[in-house]
Amino acid sequence: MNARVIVVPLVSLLFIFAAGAAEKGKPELEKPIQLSEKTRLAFDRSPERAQVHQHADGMKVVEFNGTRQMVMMARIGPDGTVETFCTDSEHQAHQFLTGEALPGEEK
Amino acid sequence: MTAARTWVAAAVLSFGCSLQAATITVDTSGDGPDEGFNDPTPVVSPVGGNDGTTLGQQRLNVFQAAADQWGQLLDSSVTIVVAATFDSKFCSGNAATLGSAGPTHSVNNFSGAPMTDVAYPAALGDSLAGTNLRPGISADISASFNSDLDGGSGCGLNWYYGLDGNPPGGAINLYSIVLHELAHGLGFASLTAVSDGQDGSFSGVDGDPDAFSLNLLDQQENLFWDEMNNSQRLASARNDPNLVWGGSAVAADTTNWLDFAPEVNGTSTVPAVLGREPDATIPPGGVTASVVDGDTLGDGDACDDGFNAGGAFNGNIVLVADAGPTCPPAFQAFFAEFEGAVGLIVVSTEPSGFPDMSITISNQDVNIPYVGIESGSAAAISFPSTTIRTSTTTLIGENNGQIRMFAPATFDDGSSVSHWTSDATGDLLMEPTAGDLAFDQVDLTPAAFQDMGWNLLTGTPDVILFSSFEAGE
Repeated sequence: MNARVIVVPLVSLLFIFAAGAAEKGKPELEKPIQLSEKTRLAFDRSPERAQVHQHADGMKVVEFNGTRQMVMMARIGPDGTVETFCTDSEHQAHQFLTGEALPGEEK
Repeated sequence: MTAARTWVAAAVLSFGCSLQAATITVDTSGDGPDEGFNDPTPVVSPVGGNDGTTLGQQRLNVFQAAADQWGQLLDSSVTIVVAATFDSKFCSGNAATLGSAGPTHSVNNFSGAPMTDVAYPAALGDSLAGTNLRPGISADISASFNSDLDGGSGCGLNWYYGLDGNPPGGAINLYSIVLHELAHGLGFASLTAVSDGQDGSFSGVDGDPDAFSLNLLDQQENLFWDEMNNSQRLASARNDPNLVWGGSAVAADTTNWLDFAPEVNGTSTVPAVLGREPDATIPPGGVTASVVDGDTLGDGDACDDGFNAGGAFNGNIVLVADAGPTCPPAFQAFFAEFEGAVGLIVVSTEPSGFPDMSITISNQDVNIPYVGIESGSAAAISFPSTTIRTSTTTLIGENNGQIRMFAPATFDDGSSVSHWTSDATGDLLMEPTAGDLAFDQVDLTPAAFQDMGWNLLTGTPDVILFSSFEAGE
């Protein structure tokens, strides 16, 4: 629990802050992040991973072959609460999994 | 492109008399015997309305329940197939990949396509065409979830397989995650390459925009994304709060799902952010009182020993500068209330942005409304009278009447833009972060689907899955 305790002499009150996300700090990683091949493929948006099929009637089909997906992750903060984050960015995924604060967490 | 968007709306209306609930099936053939959806591990008892007797069956029951939820909202005479697997993925003691999903393919320029040169996600394309556009290969959505959450070596997270939205503390509600990810698979996702240093191009079909991205509007540039070049889209992807959803169905539905924003009215009306203390709510009609300068009347840092204002706060709204994390707004509000204040306004000391109002006090209550305002708004605070109130026109998460997308400028490499802003309140299913992991409503998502071209079975669904299943509770 990453709460801060402050004693206030005037009113003799003991305050404990329930930490917002910005105050939670980083969870301690217990092993290096190694995303599975399937997950790394999900982040891939490179053109060469997609196959374009042009049909005679003008229709086109693009097969994504497991790329261009959204990936949901979770982490447990120091206060024990579970946070989730969904992204199509492998960089953002690493940021989240290593405990970095993300925009919007202050809500 | 405006004319084309109008045409889509007309098409939706004209087909309205022949709608059919979509059947969404889960194809688990990608999992081998005894793994994933076929895991024969017996479970001790049913959990939260899920009566599967094996781990694999409980997983499938959750997937099918989420698929059925979308199926009863969307029109399609063509069965939508989700190719789903459970696989070993990254999981440590305190972090994990949960799963992923997306369309298996996109289609454009098919017979019945509402617009030419637009990439439709597979399920939507089939629905609009009334046929499987890619016969022989049936999957429309691919999804893969993490099997290591069920006791994998060193994995400290666990799935909850109940259907009642009541996961025990620390468990992850698979139903909500699948509901969210299937929405991405059904098309709630931009195929534009704007993250991880990519070039801003459309990556659906040969540079054609996708049905989702057609609805992305940059209010600052006054351009939809299909009217931009690559570099403009890259900039727009980080242009919060100006990147919004431009579709009309969502705009018409936001008042059903978003809360009205707090504001401060003095010499003019300025936006505000409400503090997160649960009892520090704005009463109906707001709070109107004289404003006193807490930084002048107080004796310095309130967190040292209180304001010691000698009665000057009594019955007044107190105005103070943000003291930052050493004395957060909740703390200042507590002391202002202690000395009789009826409200607190905290002014940011930064050139732009609001004070951090998220920190709360876990062992004390704050019972007066306290709000943060931007530094540039301070001039609007009038002495002697100001009102802290709830807006009747501005919704939290909107910008100029349109809901913002998740496009924070602080992501150096761009953002995915495939979610609503995480500032939205109440919480929405398709925000990138899901705080309590429980949703009983699909809120704005069907309206977004409608803007993309999906025909809905009802105009604006307000779906209650379980009466006790409330996000935010």
